[in-house]
Amino acid sequence: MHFNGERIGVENNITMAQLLALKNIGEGHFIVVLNDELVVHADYDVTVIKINDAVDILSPITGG
Amino acid sequence: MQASPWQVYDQTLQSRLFIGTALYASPQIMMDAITASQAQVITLSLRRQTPTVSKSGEQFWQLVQSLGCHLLPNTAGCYSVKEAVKTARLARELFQTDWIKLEVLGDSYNLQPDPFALLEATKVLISEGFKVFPYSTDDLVLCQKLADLGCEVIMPWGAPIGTGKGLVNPYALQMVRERLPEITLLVDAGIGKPSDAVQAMELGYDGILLNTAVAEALEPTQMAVAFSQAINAGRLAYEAGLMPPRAHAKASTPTIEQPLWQQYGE
Repeated sequence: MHFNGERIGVENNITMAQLLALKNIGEGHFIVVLNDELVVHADYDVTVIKINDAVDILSPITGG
Repeated sequence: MQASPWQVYDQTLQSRLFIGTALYASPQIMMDAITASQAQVITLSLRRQTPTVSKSGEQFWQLVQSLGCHLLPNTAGCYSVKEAVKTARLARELFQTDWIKLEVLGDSYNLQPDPFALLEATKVLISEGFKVFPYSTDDLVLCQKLADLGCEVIMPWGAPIGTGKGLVNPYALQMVRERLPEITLLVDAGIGKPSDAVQAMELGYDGILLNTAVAEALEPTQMAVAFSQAINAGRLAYEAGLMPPRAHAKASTPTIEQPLWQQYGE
C-alpha cells in the first residue's frame, strides 16, 4: 500500500485504526483520506485497507 | 479613522485585508506580521504530512488558532475541476469551514486561472453549499458568469501570483467594479506595494488579499502595518468621494481682489 506517497508493507486487510496505531498517529489536527476519499473518525475501525490502497494524512499548512 | 465595516458572505468584518500565511522566514515572524496587519481573515492550505515525522503541521495549526481569525483555505496547485473540488471538500473537513478560496490554474508559468475549469468547479461547489471565493482573472465576462453562478465574492488578480507588479490592467478591474456593483470584490495576487493596494481600493474594490508583499519584505511586520493603513486610506478615500480629474489647471486660491493681478500685464 501507499502511505503519504510512500510504498510501505503492512498486513493485508489491516484496518485504518490499526494502521494509524502502527504509525503512532493519534492526537493532532489532521484528516485521513483513503484513495482520495475522506475517512471519518467513526469509520477508522471498520475501514479495511487493501494492498493497493493509498492512505494520506492531511494537515494544515501555510498558504497564500 | 476606520473605513466602514463590510460584509463577506455571513461575516461582518472591519479589516479589509486578507493575508496569507506562507513564505515567512519563521512562524514567529508570520505571527507578528499577521497580528500587526489587523487582518481578520487568513489563507492557508492542506498537504500530506505524517504527524509523527513532522510536527510543523500541528505547530502551525496551534498558531493559527491562537490568532482567532476566520480561515480561508485554498485549493492552490490544482489544475483540474476534479482536483479542486476534492481539495475543497477535504479542506472543509479539515478546517470546518465552508469558505473556500478556489484556485483552478490553467498555466504553470504565470499561474493564471483556467476560466472554464473555474466556472465548472464553482458550480459544483456552490451546489454543495460552499461559500466560494474564486481567484479569477480580470476578465469581465468571467466575473459576470461567476456572479451568475452565485458567488457573492469574486477575487480578480492584479497581476500573476508573487510578481508584485501591481495592477497590470486597472481599466479591466475598473470595468469589473462598475459592472458588478453588488458583488464584493477583492484584488487577489500581484500586489507589490501599499500604493498598489490604495489604487485598487480607490477603484472601489472592497478588499485586498496578499501574501508575498508582506512575507518577503525586509521587515514584514512593518510592511503589514503599511498595507493595513494603505488599504484603510484607500477605502476612506473611495467612501469620501474622489474629485473628478480635469484637463486644465484650476486655481485653488481665490483670484478676486488679488493685488496687481494682471493689471500691468503686457
